[in-house]
Order: sequence, then structure tokens, then C-alpha cells
Amino acid sequence: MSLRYQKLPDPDKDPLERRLRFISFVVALVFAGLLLKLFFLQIVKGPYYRELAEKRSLRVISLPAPRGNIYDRRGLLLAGNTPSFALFVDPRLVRGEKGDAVLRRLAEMLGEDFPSLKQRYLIARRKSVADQVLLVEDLDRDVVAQIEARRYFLPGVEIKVEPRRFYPLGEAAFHLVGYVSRINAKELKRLGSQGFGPDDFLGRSGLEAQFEELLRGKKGRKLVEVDALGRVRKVVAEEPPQIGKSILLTIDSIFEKAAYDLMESRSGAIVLLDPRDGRLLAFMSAPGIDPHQFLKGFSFEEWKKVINDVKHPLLNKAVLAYHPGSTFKLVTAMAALEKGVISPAKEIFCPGFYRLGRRIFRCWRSWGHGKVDLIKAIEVSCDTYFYQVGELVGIDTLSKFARACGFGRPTGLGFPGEKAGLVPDRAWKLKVFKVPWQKGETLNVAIGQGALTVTPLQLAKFLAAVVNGGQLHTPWYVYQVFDPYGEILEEFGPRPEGSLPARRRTLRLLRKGLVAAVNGKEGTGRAAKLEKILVGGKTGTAQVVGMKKRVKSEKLPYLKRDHAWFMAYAPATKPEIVMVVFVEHGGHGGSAAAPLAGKFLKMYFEGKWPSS
Amino acid sequence: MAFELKKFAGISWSIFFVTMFLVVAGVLNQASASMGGLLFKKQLLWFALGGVLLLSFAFLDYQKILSPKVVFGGYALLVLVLAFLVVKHTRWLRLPGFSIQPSEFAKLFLICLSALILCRSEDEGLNWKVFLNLSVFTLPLVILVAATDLDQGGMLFLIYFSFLIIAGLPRRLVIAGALLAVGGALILGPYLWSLLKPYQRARVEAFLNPEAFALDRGYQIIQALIAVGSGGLKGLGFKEGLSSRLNYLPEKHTDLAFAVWAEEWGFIGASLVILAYFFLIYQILRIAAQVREPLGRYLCYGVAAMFFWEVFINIGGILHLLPVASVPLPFLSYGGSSVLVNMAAIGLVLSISRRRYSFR
Repeated sequence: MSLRYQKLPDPDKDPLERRLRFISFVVALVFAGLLLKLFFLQIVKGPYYRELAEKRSLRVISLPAPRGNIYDRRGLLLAGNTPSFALFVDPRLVRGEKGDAVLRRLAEMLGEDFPSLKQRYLIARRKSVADQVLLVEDLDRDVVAQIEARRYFLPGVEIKVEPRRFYPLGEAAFHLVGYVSRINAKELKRLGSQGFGPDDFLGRSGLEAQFEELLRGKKGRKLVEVDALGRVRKVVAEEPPQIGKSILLTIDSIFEKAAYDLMESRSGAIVLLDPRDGRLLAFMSAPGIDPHQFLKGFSFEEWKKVINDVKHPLLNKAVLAYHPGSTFKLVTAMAALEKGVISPAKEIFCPGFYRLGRRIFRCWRSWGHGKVDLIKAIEVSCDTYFYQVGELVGIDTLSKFARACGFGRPTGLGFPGEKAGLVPDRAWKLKVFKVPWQKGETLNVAIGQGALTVTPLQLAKFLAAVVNGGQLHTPWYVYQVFDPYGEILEEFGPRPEGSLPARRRTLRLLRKGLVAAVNGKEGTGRAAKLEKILVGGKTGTAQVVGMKKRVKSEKLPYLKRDHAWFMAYAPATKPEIVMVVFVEHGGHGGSAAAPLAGKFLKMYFEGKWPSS
Repeated sequence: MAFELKKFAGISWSIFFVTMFLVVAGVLNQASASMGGLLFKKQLLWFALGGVLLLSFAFLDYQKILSPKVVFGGYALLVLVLAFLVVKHTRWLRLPGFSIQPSEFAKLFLICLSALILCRSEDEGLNWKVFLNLSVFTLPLVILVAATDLDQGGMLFLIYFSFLIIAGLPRRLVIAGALLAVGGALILGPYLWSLLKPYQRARVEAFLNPEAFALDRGYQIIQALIAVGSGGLKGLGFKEGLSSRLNYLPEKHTDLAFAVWAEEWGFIGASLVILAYFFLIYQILRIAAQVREPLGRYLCYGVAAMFFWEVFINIGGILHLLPVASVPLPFLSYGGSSVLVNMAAIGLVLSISRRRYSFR
């Protein structure tokens, strides 16, 4: 053991030991450097890197909330949700050559050629406001299965199940229900602070737009930890989405569909309501567009076709304003009776025209109606009679009555895009045209022409008041709002709005005229006559362009043809339904609109609907 | 063999225990990096085999084992194997059941060979004969390894260079060489640059500006920095590292094993490991100074140099002091060959340490 404590030679004399000492010193220096850098990274910059690490690995996934359903009065679905698969691509992972390989595999599975898919991806990436780029919507289930099975080879590709809007009635209820489509970048900027995300849908028209707040649920959120390939490893926190509230309507989808089918290729609107409380039963405009098309997206050609269609499938004609034509004679008659300027029995001779000063105002029947009293004038829709009555009443009184009947302002339904229509008077003329009112204009307004415009909905509201004894009701169509558990949150009922400025006797006379117009020998609305049920109604033919001579509408180009109106109620003894049929550029009200009302009312009272 | 207390005399317990500490750290780190998977189990097996190797080297007489016949025979075999790999264009020698990386073993052979050559030269200082002897035998190894694995080839060259220094490479030569290298790089730089393979160029570019290549070439650097930095003082905890658990770290079992460790154990754990490496290298160098027998001396020195370069290049790369090179970190990185070679080297050092106070 004594060997252990042997004295070592002087290290300074051994060059090897000198070098080893120097090398040890260098090693110590290098390790000090390592420690210093470690200290700098972990202690000095530690918080910075910690934040980077967390930001990189935690991701918030928003969970789409299904929109509430819209039901008709029978509980049939007008708008619901169906699961759909959308394919998302993460641009941070799908890029460069590797990304091309992924896209190539995708293209093969989607049956699309690679260059077009790549181009679509690049465009979508540029437009995208989200982390992930939506590449394909509404995937086939087979394709979903194929992609899911190859997920390992498709890093950055994700399929999300989303609730997708689904409209059982399709284009028939397009204008009533409206449609939804994805939020665009501009809207997101505006609404981003309200919790909207880039994948969200917005109600664009109709009920979907009007009740957007109600129908839209509250989105859920999921905080997840993702790995470097974007795969979810762990759910850290979850806040489930809340389904939107549902709406039960007073609309009947069977009526809605039947009304739409009735229009066939025509353009126009049908409004159906219950005169007893103003509830809407059908609210239809034709032609419509399949609302699902807005979810799929339009091709350029498809969209051009929609835009250039003379039948304007994007416009809801039930809330647009048109000349009412002869249907407005009811208002003129009411004003005259109330003001006492005529007595109902007073007969006026119609030679087929009326001369005011140097101007000739023609009756629609060029050879005249002969002697007509009020009831007869309504029955045959004699223009000459109402020219004279209108002249007696005067424009100011007439316009006052028209406003009191609900014209010239929105009905109060709250439907998006509803027009107020226009009730002209002296003040209006002076203000807009800076010229005084002409007497002849009064005559035109008296028969529903001139500057006067009304919406089909206003007309239905007015007729309902005439037939229910004078009570104006604001039209309504939402009966109940309930939450996803079926609990009723809100319930709505009739909304009385005041009375017509008419005595009972006046209204009775008007109704007598309406019944005569459908059932009389010379009634213009005979096409709507039913065998068992007494129907009342009034036709209207609104000129679109002024003609020197009366020309048959069918011979004119489509856009110059008259608008055809027919408003009806039934049964006349105890009215339970009011119907307004408007056929844009349809021609004569008696031949183009009244038959549609007749067919509908026949189905309504027989309870026989087309099985579709 | 009977248990003899005498055999433990002089053995460096500090080296043994610091090695054990690093082995434990390596096992823990693999457990975390592979989440207790297959690699972890394999690494345990390699450590067990390495332990046997360490003990057998520690208790055998290194002078008897490392006779010129054995070393030169092994050297010839290794050159054959390496040449075969170059022809096959692979780094791995596939044997039934497992594969080994001969470039790892080349390090140990290079050390033994150089030590043997140096200890045979009588006079002090580096003369031409020694220099040529050293170069003729070691440079073929360097070239053969570099042909398939440039990083390991560089490691071998650094060990060779370290031997030149200890052999007494004149200081003026070192300085002149350095100047020549810088000048040559400036003149021949563009040409050499064009010779580099794309991935090698990318490494240098990424080192200079990792953010610019954040998603491809600089990815590894940035992720390593985030992992190390997010460890903070105390670390995120064992098996809790965000970067490693969520696969943000590439090569987390091998090249970036230290990043996993630093993330999970923080500055405390990481600096402890760095200090352990320093202590290990320092102790080996001390034995080299204490031992009176030239072969043992040069062997110890070579082992210390190997560990030093490996640790410096690996951790320096992770801490963004150097460009990243694919060099395993002793004991912490996964790899059977690396574990076996490192354990054998420590065994050799322990065997030498037993003789440090004797003149036999």
C-alpha cells in the first residue's frame, strides 16, 4: 500500500503534463461557455421560449353549433340540419413538394385532376381567413372513408363533420325560408368581434336572415394539444356548442308547395292568410332557387343564368311593389262610400271611355259596360265608373284612405327586403317632380295605375280586413320559438293594428261586389268560382307600359305584358282564407291569376293535395 | 476468479459514479423520449451489455488486451468492414438480429492505435516519423468513415487532431495551420461550397439564420431552442416536455436527446449533466496526468478527447453555438454501438486508473 503515496515528479518538467493542464483549462473554458449559453436560453429567455412552446402546441378548435330548425304549422321541417363532411387542409403542413404529393393523393381519391385541385387550393388559400383552408364541401361518404383510412399519408388534411343546412321544400320555400352561406372576409371583419369565425354560416334572406340571432346557436370551443403534424393528442378543455332556437311557423308547407307548383313556369307570388287573425298560411314567390345550391356554390355560368333571368328568381315578389290595377278599386269605392260622394245604387253610364277635359280615359272594355251601379262596377271592373268616382273623391282623400288601409308602408311582418309601396298625393308629386298634381292622375290612381304601387302582402292584409269586418291585422308567421329541448320560449299571436276607415255597411257592400265579381254572370273573376263554396274576389290587370291602343297582352313581348292580379277570400259566408295571386307579366287578371286561385281554393276546400 | 480487494486499489470511483449518474440520466431520458416504447427497452439492453463490457475492461489488464497484434488485427478487420460499407453505401453493418455502426467502433480503435503508436516513440515531441506513422494509420479510417458519414468522420479527425496536439504539435504550426485554413477557405470557399451536398449547405445556412428557414432546414434548430428554453429553471417535469411529447423535436432519441433532457429537467438538471460531463472529462485527464505509463496515458487522453468533442459538438449544436452535426451525445443518445463503445472506453479508463500509483 505504500506505493500509493509515491511522490510524483515535478509536473512542470514533464511536457505532457504541461499540455494536459493546458488542455484541461481549455476544456473547462468550453464547458463554462456551454453553461453560460444554457443559462441564457433557460433562465434569461426562458419565459419567451415557454410562451412559444405553448402557442405552438395549443390550438383552439371551434365547434360549429347547429342552427335551429324551422317548422311549419304541422310540425313539418322547412329548414333543418344534416351532417356533412368538409375537407380542410392546413397550409402550414401542405406546402412545397411534400404538399404536392399530398394533394396528388387527394386528387386521386376525389377523382379530380391534380392541376385543377392544386389551383383551387392555391386560390382558396389566398382567400382563406382561417388557419385551415376549406377545400371540398359536402364530401361523399365513400371518399371520407378512403381519406380517413389513409390519414397517415395525408398530413395536414382533416375532415370535419359539420351540421349543414337542409331544406326539404327546396326552391318552393326559397323566398320564405331564405338560405345560408359562409361568411366572407368582409363580413368577418365586421362581425369577428361578435364571435363569428371564418367557417360560420350566415342567414342571407327570408327567415334565415330575419331570425339569424335566434336560429344561430352558440359555438363551442375545444382547446386541444396538437403535435408537430397537427394531430390532436389531448383535449385540454371543451365547451360544447349550443344548438340554436327553433321556430314554429303558421305557414303550411303543403299550401306553400301547392302554391309553388301552381305557378308552374310563371313568375309571381301567392300570399295566403287567415283573415280572422292575420296569420300567414302561405308566402310564396316564384320562381325560386334551390337553396342548397348556395351551400355548394354556383359556377360562373350558373350564376350568370340566375342574374340574367327575366323572371328574377332572386327577388321575392310577395314583398315587392307593383301597380295594383283594378284590385285597388275597392279602396276607391270605400273612400267614395265613406265620403258620401256616391250612393251605391247610383248608376253611371259607361260608353267605354271617360273624357276629362281634352283627354280620353278608356275603359278596359272598349265598347263599354252600359249602365252600372257600384256592385255591378266592381263585378265587371268598370273603369269608367271608377274614373268618375275617383274624380269626385279627389286624390287627397283617396290617398288618405289608401294609407289607412295599410298601403304605402311596410305591413309590419318584418320580412327582410319588404317594400313600402307608394301612395301618391299632391305633396308627394310636388316634392319629387316639382310640378303640381294633374287631375288626370287622380283618375289613374283610382283604378290602381299611375304612380301607385302596392305589394301582394299589403293587398292580402287589406282584403283580410275587408272580409273580417274591418279589423286590420299585422300579418305574422312565427307562432312559437322554442329551445332544443322543446321548451317554448316565446309565443306569438294576432297583432291588431286598428280598423279600416269604413262602416260595416260599406264593407258589406264591398264584399257584395267581390262575391259578384266571382259569381256574377259578367264577373271578371269567374274563373275562381267554386261549386260548393261561395268565393269572393277581385281581379286586377296592371299595365306595365302605356299603350295608345289596347293590345292583347299575349302579343306583347314578355317584359311589356300586364301584371295579372287576383285577390280572393272564401267562404264568403264565413271567411277563413284570403288569397292574393300575383302573376308578373301574366296578362289579364281574370284569365291569368283567377284560375290559379280557383284551382288552389278547390284543393283547399276539398282537402285534396297533390301527393308530392 | 476470486474476489480480490487488491483489484480495486486505485480505481477511480469518481469516474465510475459520474458514469453511473450519466447512465441513469440516459435511461430516464430514453424512457421519456420514447414514452416507454421499444427503443427504451432496447436501450436498456444495450446499457446492460455495456455494463458487462465496462466491468470486464475495468478488471482486465489493458496492456495485455491491447497488444500490437490485437490492435493491428482489429484495425485491419475494421478497415475491411468500413471499405465494405463504403461500397454498399451504408452506415450500418447489418448482422442477424441487430445492426451496428462500425464508425463508432472506429473511434475506439483510432484511440488505441494512436496511443500505441505514440507510446512507442522514444523521444519527446512530435517528429516526422511519429507524425507520418500516426497519419498513415489513422487517416484511412477517417476517410473511410467520412465517405458514408461525414459527421462521424469529422469526429475521428478531431480525435486524430487531438493526438497531434498532445504529441507536441508545435504551437507555431497550429497557428500557421489555422491561418492557412482561413485563407484557404476564403480563396477556395466558393469552390468547396459547391462541393458540399445540399443538406450540408442547408445546415450551415440554417445555423446562420434559423428563422429564415423555420419550416424546413432551421426547423430542428428552432424546435431545439424552444425545447431547451421552455425548460426554464426547474423544467416541465419528467415525461411532461411539450416539445418531445408532441413530436415537435425531430431526432429526439438521438441527436436532440439533450434538448429533451433540458426541457424536462430545466436549468438545474441540464447544468448538472453538463457539469457531470466536465467532471468526467476532467477526471479522465487527471488520470492521464497521474498515470506513469505512456500507453495508459495516451489511452486516457484519447478517451477524454472523444468525450469532449462529442459533448461539445452535440450540446453546442443544440444550444446554437455550432452548426448542428449528427453526433450522438454519450450515454444520453439512443444507439447500441455508441453505448457499447462509451462503456468500453470508461472500462478502459477504470482499468488504467487502477495502475495510476504503481510503476509496474
